[in-house]
Amino acid sequence: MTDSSLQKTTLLPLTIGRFRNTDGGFTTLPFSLVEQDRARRYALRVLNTFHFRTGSNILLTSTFDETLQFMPFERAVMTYGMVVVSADSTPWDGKRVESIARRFDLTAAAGISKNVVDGLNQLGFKIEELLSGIPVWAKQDAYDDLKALPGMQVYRYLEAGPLVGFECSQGNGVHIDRFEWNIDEIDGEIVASSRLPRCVEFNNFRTGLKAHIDRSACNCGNTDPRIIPE
Amino acid sequence: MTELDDRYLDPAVETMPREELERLQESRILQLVPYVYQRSPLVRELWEKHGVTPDDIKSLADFKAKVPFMDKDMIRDFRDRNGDPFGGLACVGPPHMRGVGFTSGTTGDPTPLPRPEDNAVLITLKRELWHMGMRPGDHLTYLLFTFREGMIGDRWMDTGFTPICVQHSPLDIPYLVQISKEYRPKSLFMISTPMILGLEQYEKNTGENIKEAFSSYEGIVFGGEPMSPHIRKLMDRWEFPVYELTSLGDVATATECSAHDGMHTWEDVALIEHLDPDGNTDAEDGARGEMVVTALLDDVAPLIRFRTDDLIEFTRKTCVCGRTHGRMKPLGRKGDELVVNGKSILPIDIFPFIGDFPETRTGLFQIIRPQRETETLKLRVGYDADALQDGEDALKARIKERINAELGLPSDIELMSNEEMVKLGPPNKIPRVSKS
Ligand SMILES: [Zn+2]
Repeated sequence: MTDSSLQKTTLLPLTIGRFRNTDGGFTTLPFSLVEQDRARRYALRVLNTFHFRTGSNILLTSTFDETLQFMPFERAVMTYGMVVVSADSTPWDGKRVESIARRFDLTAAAGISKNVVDGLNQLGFKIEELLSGIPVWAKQDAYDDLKALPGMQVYRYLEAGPLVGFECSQGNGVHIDRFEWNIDEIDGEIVASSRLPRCVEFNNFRTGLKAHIDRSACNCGNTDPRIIPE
Repeated sequence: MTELDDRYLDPAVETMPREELERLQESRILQLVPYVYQRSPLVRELWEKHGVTPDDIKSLADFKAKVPFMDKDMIRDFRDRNGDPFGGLACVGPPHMRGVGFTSGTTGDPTPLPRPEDNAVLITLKRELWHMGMRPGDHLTYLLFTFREGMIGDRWMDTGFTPICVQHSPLDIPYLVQISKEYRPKSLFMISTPMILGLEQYEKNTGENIKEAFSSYEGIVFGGEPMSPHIRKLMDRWEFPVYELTSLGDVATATECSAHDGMHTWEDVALIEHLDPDGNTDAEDGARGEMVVTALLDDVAPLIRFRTDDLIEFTRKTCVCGRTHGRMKPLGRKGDELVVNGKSILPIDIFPFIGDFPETRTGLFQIIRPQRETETLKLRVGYDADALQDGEDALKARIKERINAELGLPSDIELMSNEEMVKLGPPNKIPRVSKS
């Protein structure tokens, strides 16, 4: 082979997601397949603590822009050998969420937001009846309300700037991949620095999330630090 | 090395001579027949009822002559009888089955569309975006109207396009403008009536120069429903290079090419039949017919001779763009057809003129169809109260007069504010036909 038949390049981003910034707008976030796959492996480690049966169904509600937030989770569920049943987390998709809960034998549900709960309410359905007794990962805007409902097993699905994570079976804080991120608590706010090569690297990034960090070993056996929002 | 024809993403397939294309279809069909017969409970039940076995199918002609049709009602009936959410269509379970999406499901429970790790849905779109000018390294504004298909932002690796995922919601227009200016993407998939109306509002509120912000696009795909004159006028003013999109019977998408003379039905992905709307025989090339599809690249839950209920005009004549696959023009759904005093009315008959009044220029309307046949055309029409010229009753009278002139029919008009009409959702369109 001659030298001219080879050419060194930099890797293209896989896709461009986004996160909500502290100004209330969005910051675009290109990420590569390597980053996506690291995040998938993180998600798989947390999922593993539930010991789900392979072949079972997980409802995932999301919107199309949330690749950064949900693609790693979705792919981890698939890697585990479970089936992801999808609906939109818009107020218009309540009918589909209800139909999925009725027709599919669900083992868990994730990405449940206030819009999903409102959409169901508008149609006269109660989320605590549709998703009772199975793990439900709720977004911040729905977590407190759902946690207060009887018969529900609610866990956090958390976003803080570019950080995305969810709670393990112990439900006592959101694990953050310690090899991917160095996180700190400054004046009660979570601040993050990335530790590995990424399309976009972060250095002492103020996430805007008020929370504290628990660095003790979790009962699930995972030693990643945990974020517990205020 | 052999030079590839850069006009096409997949020149060998896109310009394959018809005869060869049919041979390819036949080879795929002959593999599919025993597979679905052994694995799909619905196919097995249906074929047994008609006394058909894989041994009877030795050619494409046999397939078209002997295999029974399936339709939405059969799938639902199988689902309800057997408690099978997949309606008897699934040929495999997990882990080969990885995810479940759905049809839009405007009536009754939506039909599940289970899928493997990767599926053929995007093959057709990749060809069309390439044809519009996208090349490796270019950005695609990915504005799909649903997440039902799952997270598919990584499905573009084999094209080198980088998708930017945006939510299909008028609330997300500031972000759509932001990324269009930041990344200068070359194509946009897809835009719809509510998004265009949202852009118009955004332009009015912020003074943003939409034409400038969107000037990097060489292709903007419009879909969800027919384009009203007002929407077309707006997109013309912004100089949007528009390509219209429709669904290929839930198997894939079909999009216009640069000839703008029909949407390409990619026949290596789906076997398309085009049948007389009142019978089971082939309609003439170029005529109005019902689309029947068979998915050729789906091993999870393929539709086999599925009657889509979609009325289309269809031709297999080679397109001036050089592609040899068929082209269709969607006309509407058979089930949406309203017969008023013996005259057939579909939403496509209302679109061309309903937005001609200053109050109704958004072109939002619904045909009220309590049953198939009526004596009066009942319409719900969206209007802008601030634009009222001479009161609601006078507006109704003007609309009725126009309907009489265009269609020769008596009508009954209900006015509803545009804001309320848009809430009838889903996000990419409003239902153009409603029971009440
Ligand atoms: Zn063409």
